[in-house]
Amino acid sequence: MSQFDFDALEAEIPHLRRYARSLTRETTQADDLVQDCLERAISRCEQFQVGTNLRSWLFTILRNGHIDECRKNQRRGPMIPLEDWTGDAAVAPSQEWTVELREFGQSFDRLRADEKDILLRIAVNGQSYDDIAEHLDIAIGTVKSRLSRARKRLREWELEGAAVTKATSSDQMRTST
Amino acid sequence: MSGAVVEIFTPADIHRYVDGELNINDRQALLELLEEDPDRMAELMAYERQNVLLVRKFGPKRA
Repeated sequence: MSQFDFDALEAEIPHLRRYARSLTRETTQADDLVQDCLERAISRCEQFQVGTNLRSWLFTILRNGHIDECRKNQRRGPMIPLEDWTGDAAVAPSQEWTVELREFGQSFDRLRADEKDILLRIAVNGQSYDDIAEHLDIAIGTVKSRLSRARKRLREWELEGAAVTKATSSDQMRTST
Repeated sequence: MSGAVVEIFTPADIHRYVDGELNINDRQALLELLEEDPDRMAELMAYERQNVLLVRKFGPKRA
């Protein structure tokens, strides 16, 4: 405990915030994730091996916390901020999530069927590369190449969409001024 | 990909990281290397985000 560098831990907080925001895209949720990560890190500080990379250790804790949180949300439904509560019985995701999920779904639909299948098996079913290769009777290299291609295409489309949105916003700002 | 990362890891290892196919030591080593390669780190985060969206969109329906 005495060897753990709490000043170094504090210095990592901005990096943790950036990482958490990249995972959640929601500031409040990201802050909660960082807070949870710090609490876990402090409670387990004796497990940290001095001389190893603190940031990597913290990122692993944060990422695992995020995965746990996603699994809980799948079971209980998303948290709705009090200010967004309308009294409707139906539990709806936030507007930000709705837009992002819709755009993601549109991109996903553009993928080839075999690419969609691989992504769903890995991300949703939690199958390993070996399991998928065996189930589909294909080489593990084929699993990896389909996965890599699918993810790269999704990312390209996401970046293209972001660029279009940014350009549109700039045009609107110029028009309004 | 920067030279430092190429020496030890391949681009496929980023996918293996995201999919939990790397052991803890390799996970930490990869993250350490990617700290010096912001583009690859952004790629890793984007793929993690894709997995989150896939679970949100296609995961088991909530009760």
